[in-house]
Amino acid sequence: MPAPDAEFAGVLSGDWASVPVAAHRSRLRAVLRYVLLVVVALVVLFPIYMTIVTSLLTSPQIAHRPPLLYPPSPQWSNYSTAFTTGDLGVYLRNSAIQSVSITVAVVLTSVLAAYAFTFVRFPFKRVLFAVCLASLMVPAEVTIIPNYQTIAAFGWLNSFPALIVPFMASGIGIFLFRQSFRQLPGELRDAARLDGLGHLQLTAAKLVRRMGASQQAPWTEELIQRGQARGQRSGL
Amino acid sequence: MEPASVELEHIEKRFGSTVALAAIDLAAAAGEFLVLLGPSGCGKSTLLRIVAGLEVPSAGMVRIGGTDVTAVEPRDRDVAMVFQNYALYPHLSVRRNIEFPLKARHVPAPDRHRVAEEAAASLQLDELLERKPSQLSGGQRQRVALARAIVRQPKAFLMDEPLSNLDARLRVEMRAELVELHLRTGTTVIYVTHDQVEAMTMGDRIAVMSHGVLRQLGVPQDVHDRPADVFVAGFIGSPPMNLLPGDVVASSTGGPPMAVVSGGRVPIGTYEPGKRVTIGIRPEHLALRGDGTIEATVSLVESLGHERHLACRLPDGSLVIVREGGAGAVMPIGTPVRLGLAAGALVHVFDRESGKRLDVAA
Amino acid sequence: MWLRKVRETATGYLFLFPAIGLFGLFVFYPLVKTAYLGFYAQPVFPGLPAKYMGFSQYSSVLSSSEFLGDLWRTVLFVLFTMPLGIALGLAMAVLAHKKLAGIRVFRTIFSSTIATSVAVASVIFFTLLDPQVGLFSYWLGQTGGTGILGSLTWALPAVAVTTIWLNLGFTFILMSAALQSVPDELLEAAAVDGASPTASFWRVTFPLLSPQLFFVGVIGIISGFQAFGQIDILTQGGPENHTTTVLYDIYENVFDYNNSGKGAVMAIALFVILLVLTALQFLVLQRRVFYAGAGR
Repeated sequence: MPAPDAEFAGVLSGDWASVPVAAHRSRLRAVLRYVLLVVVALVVLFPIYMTIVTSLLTSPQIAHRPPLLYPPSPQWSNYSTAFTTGDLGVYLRNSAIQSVSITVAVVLTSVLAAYAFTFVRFPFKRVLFAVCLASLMVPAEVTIIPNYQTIAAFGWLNSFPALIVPFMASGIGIFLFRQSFRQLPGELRDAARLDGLGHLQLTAAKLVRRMGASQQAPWTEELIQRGQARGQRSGL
Repeated sequence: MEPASVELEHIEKRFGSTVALAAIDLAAAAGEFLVLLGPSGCGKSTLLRIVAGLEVPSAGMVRIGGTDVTAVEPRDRDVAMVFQNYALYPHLSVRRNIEFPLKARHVPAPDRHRVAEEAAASLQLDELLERKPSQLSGGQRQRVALARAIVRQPKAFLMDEPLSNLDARLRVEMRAELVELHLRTGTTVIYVTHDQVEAMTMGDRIAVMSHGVLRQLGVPQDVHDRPADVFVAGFIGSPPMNLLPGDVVASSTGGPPMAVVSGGRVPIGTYEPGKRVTIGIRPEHLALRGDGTIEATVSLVESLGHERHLACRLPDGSLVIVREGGAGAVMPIGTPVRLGLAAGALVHVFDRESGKRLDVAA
Repeated sequence: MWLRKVRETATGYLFLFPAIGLFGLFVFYPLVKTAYLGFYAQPVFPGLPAKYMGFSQYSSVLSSSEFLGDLWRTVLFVLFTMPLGIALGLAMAVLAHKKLAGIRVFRTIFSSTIATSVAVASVIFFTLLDPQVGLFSYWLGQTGGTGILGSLTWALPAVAVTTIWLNLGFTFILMSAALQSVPDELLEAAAVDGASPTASFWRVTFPLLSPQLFFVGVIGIISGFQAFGQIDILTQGGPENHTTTVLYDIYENVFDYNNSGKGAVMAIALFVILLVLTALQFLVLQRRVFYAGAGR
C-alpha cells in the first residue's frame, strides 16, 4: 500500500481540477474499490437489517409474498409487547444477572490467584500455574456430562447457580492478571506485599469496567431478535 | 540498457495542507550521479519516491529518458530502487530476492539464473545465494539489495539513504563500492542522503534541499566554495561555517568597505555602507593573529590529533570555531585571543534578511 | 521465622483455593469422570444400575456407523466453514486495507458480526430461511414444504453459511491485523521491481501471512468441531440427522436418550482429536515462527 491517497480529497469534494492528471487511472481504481466496499457492506449487514424490518411488521405483513424489504408501517408496539407479554424484560434481566455475576466472580478468583502467583511464595507454584493454564485445554463436551450430574446433585438445575458457578474461574483471567501484576515495578511490588489489597481493588475495578462494556453489544442484538420473534409469534 | 536522463519539471507535492515540495525543477543528465542532500524532512525522499512513482506529484511532470512518466506505474518505469532498510523479501533466499525483478518480467528460468548469478558474483555474494536475509549481516543485505537493483539494468538507480544503517567503517567501504558500481555500469544514479560527506565524495552534482525547496544545485566544489545561501553554507563542511551578523561600513582608510562583525572588521567586496549582512567564514579560514580585529576568549579546545578546533566566545555571546592544524600552543579556557583571517581565506557575504549570497570575497 | 513461612504458604494456597477448587470440580474431575463413564452402558429403563462394559463400549461406539457418520458430517461442516470463512475474511481485509476516505465506516461494518452471538445469528437465519415467510427461502424458490433447513442436501450447507456469516467479523479483524504486519516497504519494493498488484499479493503478502493463516486455520477447525448453538436452533441435528455433528450427538445421547455412557465415549474421542490438532499446530508453528521472527 504505497502512498496515502490524500490527493483524493479533491475527488470526493468534486474538485476535479485539483487532482493531477497522473491520478486519473488510480481514481478509476478507487471508485471500483468503493463500489466493492459498499456491496460487501450491504451483504454483511443484510441479515441484521432484515431482522429489524421483520421486528417492525405486523403478522399478516410477515406472511406477505413477496416478503417485504422494508416496513410500510413500523410496528414499534412490537417492542413494548415483547417486554410485556413476551417477558423480554425478564430474559434481559436474567442475561444481565448472569453476565455480571460471572464477570465479578471471574475477576475475584483470578485476581486472588494471580496475586498469589506473583507476590506470595509457596511450594509447587509452577505446577499449580500449569494446572490453571491446562484448564483452558479441556473442551466443553468433555465436562458437560459430569457437570450436569454435579449440578443436579446440588439441586441447582434450572436455576442461576447452574449458569454461574461452573464459570466462576478462568484460566485466561488468571494469566492476564498475572501478566499485568508482573509488570508493576519492583518497589510497588514490595509495597503491595505490605499493603495487600489496595492495588488489587484498583486493578479489579478497572477490569470490571472494561468487561462491562463488552457485554453491551450482545444485548442490543438480543433486543432486536426478541422483538422480531415477538412479531412472528403474534402471527401464528 | 542505455542510461537515461531524469527530469523533474515544476514538481509540487502537498499532503493535505502541508507543502512537502514547492516547485522543484531539477534534472540529472544520463549517466550522472546526482545527490539529493538535506536534513530530515526536507522532502528529498519524497522527491525520490516521486521519481520512482511511489508518490504522485500534486503538480508538475516527471520525465525519464525524455518520456513523460508522470502517469506511469512504478513497475513500468524501469527504474530500480535501493531502500534505506533494504526491503529484502524475508521469505525468499538471496538468489530468489535477486531474481524477483526478472521473474516479475517473465524472464525464462535459465536466463534468470544466469543473470542473477552474475550480479551476485559482481558483489561477492556467490557464497550466500541460498541463505535467507535473516542470516546475513547488514553489509551483506545491502549488497543483496544492490544486486537486486542492478540485475535489471534499469534506466536509473534510485537510492534512499542506503548507507545510513551501516556502521562507520562499512559505510566508507560501501561508498567506494557504490562509486565503482556507478563507473562500471554508467547508469544514472539519484542518491538521497543527509550526510554531506557522502554527498561531497560521491556526487557528480549535489542538489541541496531544505523545507521542500531546492537551495543549490552544483558540483561539490562549487557548493562548498560558493554556497548560495546561509542554509547551504551552514550545512556543508565540518565543522560548520561560522555565520555572524555584520553591518557594512565605509573604510576609513579609503580601502574596500568593511563589515563590522562583533566589534572586529573584516574586508569584503563592494557594497553600500549601512547594508545588513551575514558574514560566513569557515573555521579553517580563521586564525589566531596578533593583528586580528576580532576579540574573543577561548571557550573549549577539541584536539583531534592532527588538528584542533578552538571554540571562541565573542563579546556578544556568540561562538565561533577556529580550526588549526597540528597541536599548537596550550590554550587554557578563558585565554583572550584575537581572531583574523587566515591566508587564502574566503569571506562569504549573505543578505541578512533573505539569506542569499551576495558575493565571495577573497 | 518459620511461622512466617507457614503463614505465607497458607496465604498462597488460600488465595488459590477458589480458582483451583473450581477447576478441580468443574474441569478436571469431569474429564476423568467422563472417561470413566465411557466404561458403563446405561440401561434402557431408568432406575436400573448401569452395566460395566469395559473397553468394549469404547470400541463399539467408536466403530458404529452413527459415530462415523457424525465424524464425517463434522468434517464436512469444518471443510465448508473454515477455508471459505478465512478466504472471505482475507478478501474483506485486503479490500478495506487502503487509506481511502471513510474507510473506517466500512471497517466497522465489516467487523460488526463480532457483536452477534451464536444464538442471535441462528435466529436471524432461521427466520430468513423459514419455509413460509423467510426472505431467503423466497429468493431461492424454496417456499412451502420443509424449506432449506428441512432439505437433506441443503441443511448442512445452510448451517455452514450461518456459521460463516457469524464469524466474518472475527476473521476480518484477525486478517486485517495480519495484513498490517506486512511492511509497506516490501510492497513498494515489489512494485518498483515490476510486480503487478496480483503478483505482489501472491508472491509477497500471502507467503508472509502464511503463519497467521495457518494459526487461524487451526483455530477455525477446533471451533468448527465445537459448533453447537446454531445446529440446535436451526435444525436440531435434522433432517434425519443430516446436520448432527459429533458434539450434537453427544448432547442428544446424554440429555435426550439418557445414554451418558455412549456420550462419554464420543466426548473422549473428540477430546483426543482436538488434542492432536493443537499439538500439530504447535509443531508446525514452531518451525515457521523461527523463520518469520528472525527475518528482518
